[in-house]
Amino acid sequence: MSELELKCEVRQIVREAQNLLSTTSDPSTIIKTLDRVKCLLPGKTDSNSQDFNIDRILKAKEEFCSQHYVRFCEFLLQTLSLDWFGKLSKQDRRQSFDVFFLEGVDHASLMILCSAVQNTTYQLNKSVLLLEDFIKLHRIKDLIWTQCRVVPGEQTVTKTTQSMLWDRLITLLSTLSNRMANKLQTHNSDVFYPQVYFKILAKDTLLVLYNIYKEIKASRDCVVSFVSKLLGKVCVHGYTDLYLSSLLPTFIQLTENDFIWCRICCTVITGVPERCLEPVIEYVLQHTPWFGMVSKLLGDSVLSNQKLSYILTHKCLLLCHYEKELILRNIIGYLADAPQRRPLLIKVSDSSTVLIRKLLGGMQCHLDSPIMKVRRLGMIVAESLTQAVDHGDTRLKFEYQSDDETELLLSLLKPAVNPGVEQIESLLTELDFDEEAEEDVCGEENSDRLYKAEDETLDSDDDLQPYDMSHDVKVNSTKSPMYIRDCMQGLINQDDPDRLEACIKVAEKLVRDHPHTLQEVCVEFLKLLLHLQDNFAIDNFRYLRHSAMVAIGVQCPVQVADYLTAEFYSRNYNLRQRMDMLEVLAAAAQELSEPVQMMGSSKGKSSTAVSSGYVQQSDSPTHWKDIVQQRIERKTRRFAKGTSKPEPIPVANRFSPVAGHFFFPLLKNYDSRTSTLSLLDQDYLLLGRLLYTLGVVMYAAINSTICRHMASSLLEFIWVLRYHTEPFVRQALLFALSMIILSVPSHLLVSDLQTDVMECRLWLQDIIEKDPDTECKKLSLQTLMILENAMKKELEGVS
Amino acid sequence: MGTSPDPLFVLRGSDGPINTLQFCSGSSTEPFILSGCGNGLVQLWNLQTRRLQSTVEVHDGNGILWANMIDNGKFISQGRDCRIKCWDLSKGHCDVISTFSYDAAGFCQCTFSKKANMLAVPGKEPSVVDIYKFETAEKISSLVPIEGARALGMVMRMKFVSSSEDRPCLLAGYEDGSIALWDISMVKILNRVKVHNESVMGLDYSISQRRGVSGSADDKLSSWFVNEAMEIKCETKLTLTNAGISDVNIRDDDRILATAGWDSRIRIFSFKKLKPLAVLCYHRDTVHCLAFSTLQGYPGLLAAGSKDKHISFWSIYNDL
Repeated sequence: MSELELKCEVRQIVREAQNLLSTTSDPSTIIKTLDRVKCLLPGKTDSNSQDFNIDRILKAKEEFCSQHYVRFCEFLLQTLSLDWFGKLSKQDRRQSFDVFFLEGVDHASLMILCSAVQNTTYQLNKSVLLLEDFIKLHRIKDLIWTQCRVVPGEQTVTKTTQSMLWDRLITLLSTLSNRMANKLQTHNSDVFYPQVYFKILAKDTLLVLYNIYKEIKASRDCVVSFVSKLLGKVCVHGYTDLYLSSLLPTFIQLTENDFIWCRICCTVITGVPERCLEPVIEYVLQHTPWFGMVSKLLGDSVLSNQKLSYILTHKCLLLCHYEKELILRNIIGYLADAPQRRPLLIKVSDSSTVLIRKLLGGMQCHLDSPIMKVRRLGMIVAESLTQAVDHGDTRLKFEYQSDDETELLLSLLKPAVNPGVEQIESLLTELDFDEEAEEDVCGEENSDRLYKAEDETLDSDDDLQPYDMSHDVKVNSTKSPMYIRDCMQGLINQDDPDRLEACIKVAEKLVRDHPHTLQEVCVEFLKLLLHLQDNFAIDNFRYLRHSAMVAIGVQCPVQVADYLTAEFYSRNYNLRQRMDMLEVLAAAAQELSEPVQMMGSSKGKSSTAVSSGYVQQSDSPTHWKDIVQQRIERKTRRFAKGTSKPEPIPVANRFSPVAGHFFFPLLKNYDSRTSTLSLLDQDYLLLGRLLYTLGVVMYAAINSTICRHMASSLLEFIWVLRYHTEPFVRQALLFALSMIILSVPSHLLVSDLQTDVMECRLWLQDIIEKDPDTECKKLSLQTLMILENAMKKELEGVS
Repeated sequence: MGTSPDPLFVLRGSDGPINTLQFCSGSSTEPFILSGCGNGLVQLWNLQTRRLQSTVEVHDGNGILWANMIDNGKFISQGRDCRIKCWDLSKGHCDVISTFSYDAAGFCQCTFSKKANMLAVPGKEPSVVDIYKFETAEKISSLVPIEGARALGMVMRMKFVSSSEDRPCLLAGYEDGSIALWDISMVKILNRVKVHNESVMGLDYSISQRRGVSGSADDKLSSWFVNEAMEIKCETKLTLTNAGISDVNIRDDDRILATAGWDSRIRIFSFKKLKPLAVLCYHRDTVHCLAFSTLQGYPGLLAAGSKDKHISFWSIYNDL
């Protein structure tokens, strides 16, 4: 029979199966159909097919796998529904359905399952379960092994298709745990946790390498570049520790006295793509206890691999700093270990005469240093250097106190001795199992057994999965203050960091809860906060301090605004503090101008709460009644039409009466010069911030009567500065101008302010044409558009 | 795994801090839990209905340090009035069977061994432990350390252990942080090791594993084992987030253990490697005592009594 006929026959079987499966939901028919196709799977050798005899079945399988497998599996997952799948028994599901994924073409199966994870709930669940089994049954091992095997004479795939396939597979394997975590969120399965997944992946990798080892022993060819690329990709994705912590100890032990393993490990590590090489090498250098082992792992590849040579001789030695001196020892030991690598070490430090000259110079500098530590370093180097250069009897000997550091430095002089593999033995516990498992694999390919064996050897503690323990934080023993004066006292006494932290944390809450006691101390409190410095690196310090100051500003706007605007121009403040003042003014103005939510009906409190009932931006816990109300709302359906929300309740604008205090004093002194502040000169940054703040305050005063006075003053101010040399200031000017346009009632633009506005228009156009700064141009274009819009609307309204 | 679990249920209604807890089967009644409070009440809570079953004031208002149910509806109570009383509940009301006074004024709880029928009571001098025959309240022996009756500070915790030859032994933790293994019949210390820098506050020992765990006033949790030569060997030392442990309890299956923290948290560890497993938050004050249930119908249930007057119940790692 010709090949064509066979192809047709296979296609027919698959088509028939698909038709049947999509129409029927009778379990026995389904099982029969599935079993008929199942015979064509590559892994099944025992089953005898009804359609093909022994000599043709191989060809048929090949045809099925290459042409139909992917589409058939996708079809299976797509048609999967509770209708018919639910009727199958557990056994049937395993034997007839799961088989397609777990004993099919590994790489195709993995890709299908991964893409199916995007599906609907039921299919998603099944795909996740299958994927779990796929990983647990060590199918990944077979997948990698298939990619590594070189079958002589088989050259069906081209280089490009292969590299594309590899890329996809490697990306899938290295990101699988991320993908699953993203998709499943809190319902993620243990297998997909990086800690578990990468351990399994490492184990599979080791098993594959063992297979390769056997192949090479039998002098057959193998390719390890897939493993190398996988290793590189995993490391680039940041799982170096998880993945290599299982691989490296095993590598070290295997390479100890086996040349073939040395070759394999060396090829794997140095075959890692160049851009991923660094994390791998870094990990190896950090975690190999002795340079002799590094030599075994890396071989002479530093001579041939440019990137590796760069990392070892340049990057790690000269550009990076490591806590552990082990890395240094490993690199230098490795480079000095073999005669052919030694020239590289010398090259690192140019030539030996230059080296000595440089060392002497450096020593000189160190010895001259006033810092004891540096000087001592110089002494030690000088001693050791003279010892190396001059073998005479008289030795240079400095007097210095020996401590841990000097001991360490002196110990670096002697090459490290081999600590033996015992040192990493604790990491190697699972290796014995690995060997056993490998024996298992050689003996028989029964993956189920393998999995069971693994289960039993698991340490009995490992099945106790820890819960999230992130809430286990240190309990702060210091009590947080209950009154504002206590809090201030705590902030003044800066000798107790815990108390200070507790005080700054509750400062905002106290201020908002006790508006009445605040009145008399507000300025003092603000002054205290303004001068407070973060001496103890308190978490979130800047935010806490800022929000406390803003809270004071909101509670006592007049005093605070008067104080801050006056202090802004006074002496003895640094840039940061002046910026803080502006920020507080702006934030307080914004908060004041927001309409206050009355804590009326919903919270069952009377109107006394107005002063303390601001919507708090800070993360204060919401009221339980709100939460209950929300839950009820979510479950309630309303059929009535019309507005379900009540009309907003009008409240008095809190900012309107105090806006002037925030605004005019800031405009007063901008051109005065003191030794610490000159806004028009070098402190242009502050000038820019000032303009931004004025703009924010202006906008906060929208809808208030004082708005028009503020606008005309600000316009005047802008006009003075309009051709400032710094682009930052010009940007701030443009911002302030647009704020004016937005907050002033638009009829004023065409009446009272008309001349000013017209001049500003010309100025804006001028900037658009001539300004060297693109950001300025953009802003000015925007401002102009706002202006045109406002005026157009106004003029249309009039006509 | 996800976030740590919430309590299964909580018994509120006690007026004082809970100092001691014990699960009791009750031959005729439904299973209950016995609690002793700082305000002098011993309370029995029905586990089925989760209601207070009965309350007994046993030490004239003095706080209860320890209460322990022995069979036949009898229980022993130890109060701050330096008395130990034995009570009978079987007739429906509470009668005193016997009372005797002891001479210590510390906080150390007594401990009772049903097998050896012995009661270990803190002695007059701080480092001394007196052993009484339970039925007759007669003093069998006085365990005085060789170093002196005050040398080790107060005795803080005791636990009866029986060694392989079936001779009764007692593990005692002292204020100086050491743990001693006493041979009671020979009245001598078999071995004493300084396990903690601070006073030992809680200890528990698994006879089958020959391993014990102890917690102290500092932030260390230690595990140790008793070898064939009856020597205590330190094994693992773990640093906790917050210092202070008031009780340690190993579950009967030797899989996990729980510690009661001064920071009001209960911590769960694996017994084998002291791997931290969970931190249970519910209480708002120091947790004083812990008990794992061995009752039928409530296997592995963990109860915790706290200064905040609540008793919380947790079901954790019970599906293994």
